[in-house]
Amino acid sequence: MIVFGYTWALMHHLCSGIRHFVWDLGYGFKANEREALTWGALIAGISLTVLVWIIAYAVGGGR
Amino acid sequence: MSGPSSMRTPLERVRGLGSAHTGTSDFWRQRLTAVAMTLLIVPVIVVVIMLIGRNHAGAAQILGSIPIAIILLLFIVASTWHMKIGMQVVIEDYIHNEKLKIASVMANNFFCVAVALASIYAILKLSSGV
Amino acid sequence: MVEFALPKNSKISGGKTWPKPAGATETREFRVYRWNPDDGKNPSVDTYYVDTHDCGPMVLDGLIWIKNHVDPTLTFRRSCREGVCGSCAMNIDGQNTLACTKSMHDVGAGGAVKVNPLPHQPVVKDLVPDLTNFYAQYASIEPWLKTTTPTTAKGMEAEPRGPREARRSLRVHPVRLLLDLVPELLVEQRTLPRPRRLLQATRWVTDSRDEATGERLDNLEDPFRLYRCHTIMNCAKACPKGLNPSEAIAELKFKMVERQI
Repeated sequence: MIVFGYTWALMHHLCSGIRHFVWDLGYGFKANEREALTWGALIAGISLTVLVWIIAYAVGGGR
Repeated sequence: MSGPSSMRTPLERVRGLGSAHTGTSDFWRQRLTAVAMTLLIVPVIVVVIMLIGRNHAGAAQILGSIPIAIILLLFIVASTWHMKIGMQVVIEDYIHNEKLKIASVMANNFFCVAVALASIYAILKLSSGV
Repeated sequence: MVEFALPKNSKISGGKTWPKPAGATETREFRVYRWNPDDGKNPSVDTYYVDTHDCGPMVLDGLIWIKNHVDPTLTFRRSCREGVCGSCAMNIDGQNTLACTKSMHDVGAGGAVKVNPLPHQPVVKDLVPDLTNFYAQYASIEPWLKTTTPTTAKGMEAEPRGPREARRSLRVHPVRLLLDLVPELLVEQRTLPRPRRLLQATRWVTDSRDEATGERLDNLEDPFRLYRCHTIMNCAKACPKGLNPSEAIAELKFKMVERQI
């Protein structure tokens, strides 16, 4: 459970970091784009976490 | 701030000790390590998944392989450096007592270097088969 | 350290409820921050009832109505009443905005309209904040054209600007309220980077006529100036003029990298 939370923290940080790259490069500053990027980072972070855990169970489950 | 006790002019208070003329290097390194980790995250996750359920010998065998060890070493360097800069920013944001702030930044540096060295040592030890 | 609580003498206590206007068929409740420097008491929140049939639609109209009809001691700044001057910047229902362009029907969901002074600045009286530091910060970016080349009789022509740059170059006073949006930065009394100041700085850094670009960048390059902005975007969210200081700050950070890498 704790490791799951940690994975999510990492993945959310990764996705938010990518969002900040977009801003650093000068894109995505309009109000709707900002909202979309932020929601996108949140959802992508959760999706990636779940994906990683599914793969981990699929691969590691056999051992 | 602008209490009657202060003899300094408002402009003097705003200018303070002047610009430090630094910050860009930390900003740049934070992005540099972030890009590095964005690229490295996939192989690192693959390695971690490969380790699931293995015993010590099996894990040591995987971590001992040269490409995997190098990927992990790169990730350790990037992540601890990123951590050091990121934590320093948090300290600068929230700790306003100058001496406490200096102590915290120093402790943060020690901690990050210690974590980095311990991790690097562990990987090297496994890959050199000692 | 971070201060989570107000100092003792700033804690809000009590407050007077003023009678409803006689003969009014429809009223709106206003809860307004009051503080008088002369009576030695803590700030309080007074409750007023505004006759909405006798009053314009904006929060500022309500405040003026209160001052005219209920309580002439209520103190606030206002001037243009059309969102240009920025005098009536205050915190309405938790959001820093302009009282003259905020409709009282858009806030508080029919309940009370809560009006407070801009946070993180010393209060002079009631809703009037002390802007000394604000003007000092504005002065610190040296908001004037700096050139070494003597100006010819013809003057200096500026490069044509895109609409975004042109908007930024406007001298927009309401941005005054943006300076309150990074609260953790504003607790400490030192060099405070504020969105508005950095936005204005960008305006001069990007001016094609200005010859002090490097010097201006030098002055901003500091962990506690430019780099204290973490692109949270509260400033852009609150700006009643639709400006985006974060975008200007990103441009400044890019220029900093550009001249080093």
